[in-house]
Amino acid sequence: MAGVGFELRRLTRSDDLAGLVRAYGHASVVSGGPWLMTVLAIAAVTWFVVGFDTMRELELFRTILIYNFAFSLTLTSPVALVTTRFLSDQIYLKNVERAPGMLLGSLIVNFTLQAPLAAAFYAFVPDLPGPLAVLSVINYLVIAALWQVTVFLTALKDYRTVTLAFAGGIAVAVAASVVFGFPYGTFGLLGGFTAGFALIVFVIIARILAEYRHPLKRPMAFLAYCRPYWELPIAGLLYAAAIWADKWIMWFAPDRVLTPEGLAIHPFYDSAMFFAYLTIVPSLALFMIMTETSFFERYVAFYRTIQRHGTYAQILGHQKEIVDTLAGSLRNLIVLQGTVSFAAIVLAPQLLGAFGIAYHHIGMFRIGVLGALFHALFLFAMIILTYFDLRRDMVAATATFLGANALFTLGALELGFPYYGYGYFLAALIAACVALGIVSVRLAKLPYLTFVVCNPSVGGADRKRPEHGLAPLDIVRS
Amino acid sequence: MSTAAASPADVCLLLEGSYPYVVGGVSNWADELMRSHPHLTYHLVALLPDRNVSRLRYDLPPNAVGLDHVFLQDVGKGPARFAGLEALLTRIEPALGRLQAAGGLADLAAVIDALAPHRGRLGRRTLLDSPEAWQLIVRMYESTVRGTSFLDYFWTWRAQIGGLFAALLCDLPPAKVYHTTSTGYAGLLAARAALETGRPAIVTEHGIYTDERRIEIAMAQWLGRQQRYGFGVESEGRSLKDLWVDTFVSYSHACYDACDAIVTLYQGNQELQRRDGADPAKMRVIPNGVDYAGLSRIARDPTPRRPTVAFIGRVVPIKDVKTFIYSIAHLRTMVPDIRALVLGPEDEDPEYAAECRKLVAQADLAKVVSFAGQVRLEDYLDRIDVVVLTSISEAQPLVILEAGAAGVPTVATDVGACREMIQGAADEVPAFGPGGAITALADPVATAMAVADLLLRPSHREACAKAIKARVAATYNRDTLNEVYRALYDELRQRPDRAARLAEVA
Repeated sequence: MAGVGFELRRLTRSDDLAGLVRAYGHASVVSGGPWLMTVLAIAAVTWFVVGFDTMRELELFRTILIYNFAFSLTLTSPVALVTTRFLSDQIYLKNVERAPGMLLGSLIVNFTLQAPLAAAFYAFVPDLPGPLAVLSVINYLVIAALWQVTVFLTALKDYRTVTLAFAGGIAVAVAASVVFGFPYGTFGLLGGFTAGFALIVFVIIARILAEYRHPLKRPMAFLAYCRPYWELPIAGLLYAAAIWADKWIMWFAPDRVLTPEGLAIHPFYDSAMFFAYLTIVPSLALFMIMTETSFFERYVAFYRTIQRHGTYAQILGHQKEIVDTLAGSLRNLIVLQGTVSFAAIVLAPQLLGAFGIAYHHIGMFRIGVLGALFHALFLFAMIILTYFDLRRDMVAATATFLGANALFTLGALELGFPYYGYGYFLAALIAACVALGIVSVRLAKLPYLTFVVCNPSVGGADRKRPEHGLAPLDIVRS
Repeated sequence: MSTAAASPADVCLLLEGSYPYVVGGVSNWADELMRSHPHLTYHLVALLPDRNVSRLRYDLPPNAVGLDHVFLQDVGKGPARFAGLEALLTRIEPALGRLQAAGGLADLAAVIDALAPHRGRLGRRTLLDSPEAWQLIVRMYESTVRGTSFLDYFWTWRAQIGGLFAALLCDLPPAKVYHTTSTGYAGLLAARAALETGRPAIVTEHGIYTDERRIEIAMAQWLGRQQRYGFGVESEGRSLKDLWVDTFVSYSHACYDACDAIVTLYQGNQELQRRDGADPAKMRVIPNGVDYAGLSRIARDPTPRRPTVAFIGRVVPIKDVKTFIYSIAHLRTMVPDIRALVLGPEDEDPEYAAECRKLVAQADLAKVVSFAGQVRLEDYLDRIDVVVLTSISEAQPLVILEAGAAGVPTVATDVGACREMIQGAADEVPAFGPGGAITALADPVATAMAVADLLLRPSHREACAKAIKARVAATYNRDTLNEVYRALYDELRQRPDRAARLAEVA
């Protein structure tokens, strides 16, 4: 019989959305992890350095570490975000055969891009003895590898091994640094630290390979995601650059420190900012709880109502619940983080004293704490954008943060010491407002976004899905 | 793939989901139609669901001068913005709403009138994907089927209204006559052509589009599901299934009103066309014909043989071969030396074919029934006494006519055009009398009785053979029927343009 009239409405398979978005949401929370880890590690080392500030070797060690953390985190994040997405989709599709291949492939891509840069940097920029330069490059690559393998952490159900790996690795790092630091100076400190971090990397890799017992095939398959999801590597790079931009600019401040080897650093600004950032740890914990419970339930209910053939009125009802929940979470976040920040500002003298930071940096620390408050609000908005797969908005928000941070930090630098830290504060404030503004506009149009804008099943040949890919919001014809 | 004709083609043939990409009855007919009128040029427009175009299943005849494509699910991206989109959509909303209920040509004309000036500046991004379009969808949902699944409505709207937009925005090749092989979206395109160009249009329906869709919609389990949790929201008023059917009826109605000739294969279909709003004054039957001259030369084989009946057709469930086998079991009690042939391919549904063979063995008919596979009918007709058709669904099975031309009567079930071909239309002049017998569906005893009646009463069989042969010669002769289309084409081709019909209808 002639006619395609009804065939038009051909069916495609529908499935539950929950599996994918879970892994996805997790990843967004965890992506805050490496930065936190960096801050903790550097804070610990700083504390150490401050205790033994007669040792010039320690200061060089700390400087190399900050450089390696900063640039490896920035340069690894594009690949890390793409692989996070790829892995989430593979897990959702219950097709994890490619996970070991992707692990290998992502390390190859990261090393290929970054090893020459790191090698060139340590060969030509600082005046380091040969062995120390080589060790610095190795340390860089180990840290870069760590950022990459943490992508898999959410996929590993074995939290015990992972926690043990970190605890053991950091213990080894500290112990080895101390043991080798005294006889061998900077080389010993860095070598010990590298050994400890390498241990973490190898344990995690071993755990991943044990979890996914599949041959290493098609290691570069994830690169196919770079095209349809081009916003992810961009947003990853922009965000990592945004959180470092003020530090990098401050390395050119008049009162910076230039080590004898030729590495610029601003230890007091860095320290003040790192400690200030630690005040958002309670907020990160809140994110975890929020995304795992109240928000997540409503998020799933919204999509489930659509998939289970709810009426438009019911869909609107669930949209309202999402908005209400997020408004409540935002309120809780502001109260919690506000309290913590207020306490940190009031107790700043005691806190800085405990960390051994000079008293005249207290203003810098306080403004940094205020900046971290808005940084937390920014992260809150970013997590929501990630959940709803609004990738271009992620790019816009992170670009705002980067641009504002660079611009205002330059301005603060111009204004002089009393204004140090205002750049980061203003940037975080503006970025948080922009990101929250985007979120509120998008949430108001959530049904339209879900059915049309973020729905790959809608649209013609010009909106192709990636091979084996899957968008979380694929409202398919079920 | 698309070639443009230099000058207007004689006929623009509109084909929805058939020729030259899908093999089937309509496609075979279209191929035959073009080859029977070599003096006319044809520009083909194939309406397909999307850009996944398969290979050509037919060699295009030399007089097919162009082949264009319309992708119903793919209007084309179009620019991202259109100034005044909201006003435009608000303007067409009432007409779209009526097309989803009980609309017709005036509503279609209103939509064309609003969209046509902006062709080339409208596409998927504005008409389907924009926030303004979303608001339109929500408004139309709320005012029609708001108790039902919004997900289903969303896709329903995109399919129905998106297909409508595709048919109204595509390029239309110039032609002297527009000939659509179905209603539906091809019918919409024919209606648009008639309105915009002022040229005549013909619709030839084999199966009735709305009837086929009705069956599919009734069987569609995905449609009309309600939410399974929460407070039981009662669906208020119309269901989505009603909306689908109503929309297709509106599309058919618009097509019928725009066309100058509404053709179908047999009278039974005309009832359905009338129901969907076709004007009886424009309706006519042009059946499919057979090569009477060739087939009537087949002489009966005079050598003595067992009485022979044949089932001719694919061995598939819709042909209900099992009823045929059961009827042979009954027939054997009346005609002990009966022989039965199953002539037709068994590869389409091997499982069913195997079941049929098993049934033959179980009924102890191995020496009676034989499966000959696909054969040249001409090689068998001279030794067949009665043809049997037990189908549960048919349009106009040509085998009745082919056998009839060779003087073989048929016993067939009362489906499609079978009754008309075997007993003659009610208005047949002169009445030739029965050319076999009509039985109820799935009634092997009745089939056996009717066949026995023909086999055991030679004079009756002779009368039937004569009647069917005469009817085929008079009514179903391919050469004569080609002349009917030729005359219809000639008349319509020469009509002057009717200007400004769009404004008049809208």
